[in-house]
Amino acid sequence: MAIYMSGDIIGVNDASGRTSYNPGQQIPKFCWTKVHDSGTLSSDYSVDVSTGEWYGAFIAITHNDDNVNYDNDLWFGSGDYYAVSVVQLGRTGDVDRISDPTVATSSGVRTITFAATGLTAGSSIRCYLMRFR
Amino acid sequence: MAIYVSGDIVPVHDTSGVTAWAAGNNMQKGVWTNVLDFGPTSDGSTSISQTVNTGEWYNCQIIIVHNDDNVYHEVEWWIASGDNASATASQISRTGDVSRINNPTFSISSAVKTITFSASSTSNGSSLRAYMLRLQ
Repeated sequence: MAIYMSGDIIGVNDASGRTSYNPGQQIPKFCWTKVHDSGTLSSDYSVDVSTGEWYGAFIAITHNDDNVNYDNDLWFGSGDYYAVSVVQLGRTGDVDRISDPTVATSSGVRTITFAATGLTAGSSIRCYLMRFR
Repeated sequence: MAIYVSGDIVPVHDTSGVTAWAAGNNMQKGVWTNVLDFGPTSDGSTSISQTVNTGEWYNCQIIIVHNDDNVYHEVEWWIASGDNASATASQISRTGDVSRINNPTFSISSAVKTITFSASSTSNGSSLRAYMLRLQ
């Protein structure tokens, strides 16, 4: 048996199955969810994103600058009720503009600060998270 | 809400929902796609080299798996990133009892990435599979 899938995979946050993920909501498990899309930028950037309650996750951060410069970072995060630690699994790219993510925790809810420096006009960063617990 | 699924998950590349991904098409985002399933070899060759057009993408993960008659085995995990004219990849990890899988190489044309997957020191019964997870 095979299951055929098409289109972007969008984690939903309610039981209707029709609502895409919004910051502050719980992220469905085992589904890559885009938690932030900066749009087009022209200078250093930092954003706080509430990613809801989770205890173990993969985090991928991508950077693209006018389809000329690019980066991809992959992280592993784990936490308890009070704190989170993250470890970088790998990074690749031709510039090094993505900053390490930092995570603030309140009652198990994680707010991640995604940032990038050295950006020029046309840059963007996108952030993805796959929660397994 | 939970969605229970079983069996292979096959990304499609058109709107019909019934056509499996084929080389040269863009991959769907956020789902693992089997981009290469080669072998088992039976012609006595001692190397494998397969070129796959994986369509347009800018950030992804790649897993390469080798199995030789269910006796020798390896798996490698990579992340890759690229632009309109180039791509780079970094190995996150590898495991296995032989080291036959070669690093993947890329050729790019207008952001379309063609990847060469290869292995050396293979014997009859070797197979090479590659999987990709596209994010951007």
